Amino acid sequence: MSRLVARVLKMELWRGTAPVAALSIAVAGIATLFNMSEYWAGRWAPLAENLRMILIVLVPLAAAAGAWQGGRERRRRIGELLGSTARSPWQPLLVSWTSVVLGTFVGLAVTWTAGAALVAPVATYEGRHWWWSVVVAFAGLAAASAVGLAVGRLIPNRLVAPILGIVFYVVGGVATYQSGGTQWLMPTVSNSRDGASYLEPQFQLIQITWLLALAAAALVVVGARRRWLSTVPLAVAVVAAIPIATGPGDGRWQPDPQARELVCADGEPQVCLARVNAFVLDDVAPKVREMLERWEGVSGGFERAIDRTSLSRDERRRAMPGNGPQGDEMPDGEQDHASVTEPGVDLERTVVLDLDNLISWNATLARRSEHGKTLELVVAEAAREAYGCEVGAGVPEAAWTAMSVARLWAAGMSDEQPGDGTWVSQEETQAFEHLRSLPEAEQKAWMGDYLAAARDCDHAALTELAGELR
Amino acid sequence: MIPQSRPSTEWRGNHARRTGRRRRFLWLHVRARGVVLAAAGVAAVALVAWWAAGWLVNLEWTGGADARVPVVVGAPLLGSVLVSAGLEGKDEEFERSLAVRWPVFRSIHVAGAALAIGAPLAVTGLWEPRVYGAFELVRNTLGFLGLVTLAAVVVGARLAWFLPFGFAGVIYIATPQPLTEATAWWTWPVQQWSSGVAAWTAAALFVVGTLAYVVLGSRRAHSR
Repeated sequence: MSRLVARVLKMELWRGTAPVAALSIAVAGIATLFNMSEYWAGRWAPLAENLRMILIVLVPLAAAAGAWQGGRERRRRIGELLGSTARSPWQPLLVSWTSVVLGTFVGLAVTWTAGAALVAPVATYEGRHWWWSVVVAFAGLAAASAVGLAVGRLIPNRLVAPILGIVFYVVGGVATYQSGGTQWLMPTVSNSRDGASYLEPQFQLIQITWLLALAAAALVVVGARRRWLSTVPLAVAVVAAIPIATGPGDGRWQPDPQARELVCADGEPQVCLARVNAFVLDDVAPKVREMLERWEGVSGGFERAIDRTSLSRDERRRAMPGNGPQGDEMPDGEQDHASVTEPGVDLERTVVLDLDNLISWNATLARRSEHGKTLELVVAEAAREAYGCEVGAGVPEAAWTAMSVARLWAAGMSDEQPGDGTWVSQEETQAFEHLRSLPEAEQKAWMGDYLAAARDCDHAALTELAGELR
Repeated sequence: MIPQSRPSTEWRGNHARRTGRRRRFLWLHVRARGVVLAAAGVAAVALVAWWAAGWLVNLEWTGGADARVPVVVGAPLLGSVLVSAGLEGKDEEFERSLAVRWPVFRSIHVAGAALAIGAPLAVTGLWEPRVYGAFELVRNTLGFLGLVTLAAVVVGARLAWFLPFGFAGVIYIATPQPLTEATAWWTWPVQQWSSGVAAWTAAALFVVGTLAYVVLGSRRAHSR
């Protein structure tokens, strides 16, 4: 780079929209990323996925910054002056775009670095191919600012910048609602995959090609004297977009067996977390063991705990027969992974640990999630999930009462409400009080009978058990 | 004989000329502030919001009216951004030297904008109006207009869009879930109507923004 170009670029960097773009992207990025820190703290791949998620806010900012920069010559009425210089139109355009892109890149780099500073000291799994996701995020900002610059040049209105930003915001939002391949045309991802899945590098290379070709086409349209030249990058963009749009949606996520490998704490009973979550094992294991002790002496009681992230779809179904993968938990098309549990392990007697939202920003176990969930309630959920039929309208009221009482008992609750959004009725509280007033051996016998009835989906027995506590 | 109480022909002529001049001035003002274009834009926003709200609610996996949050935030924001360009004249310094009661004009301008954005959006959100519908659309219209007018006073109308635009983008994704009353003072655009704090915050922003704009006007270009 010649000294002259470097000087012009430096002036553009300080006097254009680059500083505002860098600052707004860094502030918005850090605010949004750290607001959802429970989804990525301590894990590299989720950090990259969440960086892609927050692009829904950052891409519109980059587009608006580009559009504002693109309209600058017109606002300052210096278009003719610049046209009279001996420079080709693409040269000032390229310098202008480079300054905006550098501004947006600085903002995104600050955001990612702030997250990485919290992940690096504690991460227990290095992740697989997540850096490609970060590269796609940068390419997304480059493309958005190029399209913004082109639109800002072509449409002579001050409001182009905010309107284009809002349009990008809407398009990004609509893309996240799509389940097919078109969602990947935007650099955003619709949700984080808890670090146990990854996107193939080849696919992300195609995404980068699509985004950069789109940026090049936008720049050539407004910067080149021969506009037809834009057909070349446009053709590349279309060729790259076809396999993206016509390919699978959620099926692009590949299971990462290494991330899901079980890492177990020393000692008994067995408490294991997925490798990607193992950085909280020392926090989780003693508390879970303490809770598993409650089940000692209960016929059919739980004797181990395993991270939900590690389980395959079939294993989740076996561990939580009535409450297994439903709805968007395992979207259609997403590829399942092989079993990581040892053959012969009785999943029926295994507590499935769902640590979602329970990891705090500094990668330790949170006392209570923002939804009110605690580790105690997560472990106790196993008592309710033992119910073997699909949960729905056909479940008798007494069975609900029995399930609720069993959960309260497993959580070691006293009189207060669980505080996680579930509501315990007066009748359930009274039934639970009745159970607690019984001698310990009778309590455990009742719980044993409950587990047997719940697993067999025996509504008559559950009704009878609930009746015993009236 | 012409009765004494009846205005003379000369008076009537002057009155008609004055009325004509006033109408002409008003029409020129409306054109200069881009009101016609902004009104057309707001109408388009209302129609798109109507369609988008229906699309969101009828998606297979969405759970009813609360799926309309993007519309409840986005449509009033876009409407407020569209009217922001009209908060100052091409030459604010020159305009202020005219013998015109600008505070009156400014208050009519803001009230007209609130009505022009709020009314069509409210009509599009009348289905379950209290669950991310008409009530929230009107509240957010007032809140975003308050932010736009405040920003116009501080940085000028041409950059007034930046404050509500940046704010809405961040709170949309940074709002702690589930929504609570404790955070409603800053997450008011995504709150349901049942949140009194959100409604009062938006109303306060509208009042403060309007008062500041009516008294001070948009920041003049030469001082920027």
